[in-house]
Amino acid sequence: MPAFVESVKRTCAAAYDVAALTLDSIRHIGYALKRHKLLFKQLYEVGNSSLVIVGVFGLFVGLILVLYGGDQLRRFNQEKLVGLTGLAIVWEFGPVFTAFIVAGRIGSAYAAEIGTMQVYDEIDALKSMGIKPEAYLVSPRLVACALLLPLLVIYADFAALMGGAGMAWFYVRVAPREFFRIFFQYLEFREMARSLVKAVIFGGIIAVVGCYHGFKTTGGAAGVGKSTTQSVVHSLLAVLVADYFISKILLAL
Amino acid sequence: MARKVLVGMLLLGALFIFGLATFYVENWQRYLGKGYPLKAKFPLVHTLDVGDIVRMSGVEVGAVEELTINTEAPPQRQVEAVLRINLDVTVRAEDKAVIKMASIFGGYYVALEPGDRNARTLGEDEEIVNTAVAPSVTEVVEESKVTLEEIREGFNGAFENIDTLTADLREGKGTLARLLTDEELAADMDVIVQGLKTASERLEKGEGVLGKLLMDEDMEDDLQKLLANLKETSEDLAEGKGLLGRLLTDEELSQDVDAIVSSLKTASERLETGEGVLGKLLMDQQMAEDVSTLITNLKDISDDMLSGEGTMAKLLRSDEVYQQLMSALDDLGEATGAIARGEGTIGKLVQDDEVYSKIKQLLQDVQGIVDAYREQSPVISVAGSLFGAF
Repeated sequence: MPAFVESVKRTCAAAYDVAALTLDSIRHIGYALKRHKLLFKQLYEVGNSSLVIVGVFGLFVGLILVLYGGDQLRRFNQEKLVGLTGLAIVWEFGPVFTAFIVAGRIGSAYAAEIGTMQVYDEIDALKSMGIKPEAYLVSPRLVACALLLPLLVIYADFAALMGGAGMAWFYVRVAPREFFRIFFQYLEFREMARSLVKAVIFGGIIAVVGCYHGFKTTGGAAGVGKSTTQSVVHSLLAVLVADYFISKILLAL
Repeated sequence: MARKVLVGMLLLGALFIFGLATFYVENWQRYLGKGYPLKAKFPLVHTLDVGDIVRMSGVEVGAVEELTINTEAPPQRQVEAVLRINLDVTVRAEDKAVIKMASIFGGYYVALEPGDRNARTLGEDEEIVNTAVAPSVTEVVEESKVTLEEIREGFNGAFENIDTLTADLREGKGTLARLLTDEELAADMDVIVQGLKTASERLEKGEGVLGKLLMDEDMEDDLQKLLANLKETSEDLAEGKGLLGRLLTDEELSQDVDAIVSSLKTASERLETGEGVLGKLLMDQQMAEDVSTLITNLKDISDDMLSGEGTMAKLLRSDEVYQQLMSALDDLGEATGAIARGEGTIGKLVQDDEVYSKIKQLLQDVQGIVDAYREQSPVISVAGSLFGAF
């Protein structure tokens, strides 16, 4: 029982720390925007390092969705509606899978980078120089992730739609023109807006969770590895939970 | 640490409550204060649920906010639905709320169908009086089952008829069967077909009236002229020109014709009942016999006259009688000439004034004698009677 109580206490304290880190980071966004070099470095890292993997990932998501979707629609002789799979890409697959990739690639990198700094007392050194670690380390990463994830989502959507249209053409025998006609016929702007709002929030979650685990790293190199793993697991979990609630709220509005 | 735990606990608690709320809160518009509520009462709502969409002309304009059932209310109005309508949407009193199926896979929505555009606008918490519920999939399926059953029965009847027909055909009953089985009829049909072929060839060559009608351009022109004339005539008739036109259009003339027809009818009725001379002639048997006898007699007379028998026939046909008659007429002419000239006794009587005077005097004298005798006659009669008695 004391162990459970301790676990609850730790969880509550962690929630407090994450909330506090989030608020501090948001409060210092101005600082991040002023430090152009710092911000552009993060933007470059997030965007450049994820571009290829997000593109390939999106392409294959599109291929798989049309492969299955076309097969199922063919049962009802409605394969011409395979363009509707594009809506699933925009609604869910684009933002969620892109967030997964960024969480695995960038979130873990944040945890490892800041964790290493923590292990080698570089964070304390920053504090001693009067530099707020939240402002210097977290805010630029938060802004970079929140700004670039929507762009990466659009890029992933594009790649997935291209893959889907190609698959529809070769496998389902539906011309790309018909695929995109159906897709744009049923796509609404607010659905795209929902997708991008989710991407912004997912970007923030990934950056904050990665940085949080970095700050909480203890125990040398092993601790860094542990923090990295935890950051990825918690990011993915947080993204999925947030996805449900954000979708629920945005759909109800 | 304790402060961090407490704040963290509150934070997680708030997130938990917020997360829980998303499961139960279906329509955020309601809590965000968007839109205005309207009521609508239905007999049933199928599977319509809170949060389902309200559409007007296919456009989403709101959502179902609340559904309550009142078993005490009349069956047609026992389910009350509260619809939250967007503020920029106007619903009028004559508009109709219809619960419709969203797709064949299920799901329902409320459709607001526009009514009278001049009706008043409904305000907050007012009721949409005109409501209806579209049939569900199961109802449609049940109905189509009945229809399919009827169609099946119809088909069965048709198949039975077809069986009978094919049996008749096999047995050679009826014209169609004979066409299929009877060699003689087939030969006749061949002849008919040959005839039709010949006729069609003649038509093609423009032979005969029908062929000319089809192929001859002159006849076509004539026909067109005829049609033009007919058209003109019909136009004249329509305009009331000419007697026929007036008959068709002139009310007064029509009444006159009616009167004539009525008179003719009366006359024909009188003829039929044997009234009047003509009626008797037509209907009276006795008169018919008399007329027949008269005609026979006249025929006999004319025959006699033709054969020269009798006085009249002789007058007409005998030269001798003619000569005698001419001689008599000559004598009569001489006698009348003598009278005119005052010759002889009759001539004098006619022409001589003196003889006239004497005769007049004589007559006056005779009149005097007669008058005297008339006065004396009663005295003589009485005296004679008296003397006779003694």
